[in-house]
Amino acid sequence: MNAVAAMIEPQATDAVVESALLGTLTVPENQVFHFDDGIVGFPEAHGFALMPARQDGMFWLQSLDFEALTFLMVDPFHFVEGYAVDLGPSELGAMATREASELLVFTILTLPRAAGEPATANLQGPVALNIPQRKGRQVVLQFSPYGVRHPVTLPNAREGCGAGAGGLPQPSQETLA
Amino acid sequence: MSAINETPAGETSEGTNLRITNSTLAKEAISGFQAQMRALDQARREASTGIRVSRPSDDPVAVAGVMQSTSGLRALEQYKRNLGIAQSRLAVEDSVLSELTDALARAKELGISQGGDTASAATRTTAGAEVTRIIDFVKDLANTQLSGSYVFGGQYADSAPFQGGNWDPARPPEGAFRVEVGTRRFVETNHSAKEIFLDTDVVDGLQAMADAMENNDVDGITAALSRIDTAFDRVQNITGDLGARMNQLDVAVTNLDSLEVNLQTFRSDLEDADLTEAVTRLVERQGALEAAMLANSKILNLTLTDYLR
Repeated sequence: MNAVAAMIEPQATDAVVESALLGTLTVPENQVFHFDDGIVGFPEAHGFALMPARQDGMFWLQSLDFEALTFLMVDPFHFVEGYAVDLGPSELGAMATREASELLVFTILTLPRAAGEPATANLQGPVALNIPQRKGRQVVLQFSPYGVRHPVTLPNAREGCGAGAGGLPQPSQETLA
Repeated sequence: MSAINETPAGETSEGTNLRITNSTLAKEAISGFQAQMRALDQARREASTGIRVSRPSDDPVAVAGVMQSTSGLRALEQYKRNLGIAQSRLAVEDSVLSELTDALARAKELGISQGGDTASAATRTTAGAEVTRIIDFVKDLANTQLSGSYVFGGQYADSAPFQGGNWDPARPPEGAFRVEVGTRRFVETNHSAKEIFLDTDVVDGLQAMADAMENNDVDGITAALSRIDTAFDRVQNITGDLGARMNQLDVAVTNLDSLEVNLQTFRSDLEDADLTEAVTRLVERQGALEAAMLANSKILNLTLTDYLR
């Protein structure tokens, strides 16, 4: 518990999440998602917390059931021009929605094993989230021109946090309401 | 973030699909979101005593936690090897189904040409002999081995599905060959010989064709041709199902890769590697995450849903 956290009273509904990679996290319940079928290869991992990472457009997906299960996800639309995900009736049924506006889509990132190699995004297995119902699902696209290892260029880490060094963009009025 | 336009994806979708793409609206949503997160980051910088884990070497306690997961990492490697086995078997099935499709197409050709008036008893006998060779070839396909195991043997992977041209009802080549891909977690790999060669009527349909040709039985040839047509379609369905299984495995392997690299990166003792730097900077954010998230919910009353409104 750091200084800021100590000053702020936790919400009863917050989830405390243990992560091998990220430490002990406290996550508001509206950022916890239930994956009925788990993640592909991990069908017993049902609960996941979504948390923004330091870089714009990047997020952590941490299993609530297995602390070693931590995925780094990117907003594919941020990184891959022209990317599109088609969800068929069965996928939409599993996501319990027909409203496109309720869904967010991310793709899991595989970091490079060595410097100089690109990170890759799994564009064939995007993670879809139903925001209002907090349901999640990894969708396996049967027809995708992109594949499971699409090279992506990550933003420079220094630039990404550089905004903190200079003048920080202030939160917009509407979101502060 | 993702903006979503409701448009039919593809001509056969009857408008029931959703296509999710990018849009200006979504860009605005995410930039507002990111601005919020940067502001929270600033608040954290001012108020907190600092970051908890900035490099793996900075926080021995945190690193110990990660190191404990190395046994988990070894298990991941084993699962990956198993998934590799499953992928090899699916690749074998893919090539077998392709050869089977060609063989059935040839049998259909023979059936069409020998069912007509231009054929004779003599040509039918010759064609019947060719269909018999096709049957032998198909049974050889069913007996394909990989690393000493019969790929289509189902639960009896140690014995050939077809022995002396017949299958043994006591040891049917059915049931799934499964590999472990997680703790007490198994996936079915390829289809069994029973599913591909027997349930589809491939072997019996071809045999009916060969018999009808040898007996110069034109009606029999026509009937067998119809069975082979149906068998051909069933094999195409299995091919489609195989494609879906291959995609599923590819995604599972990629998920494991991603986890493995995450864990390895944090075990890395390459002090100045760009990679370690980049990742630790990403995680640095999480040192303040509980604060940020509490601030997020308590002070700003900001939720993911809010960003999207």
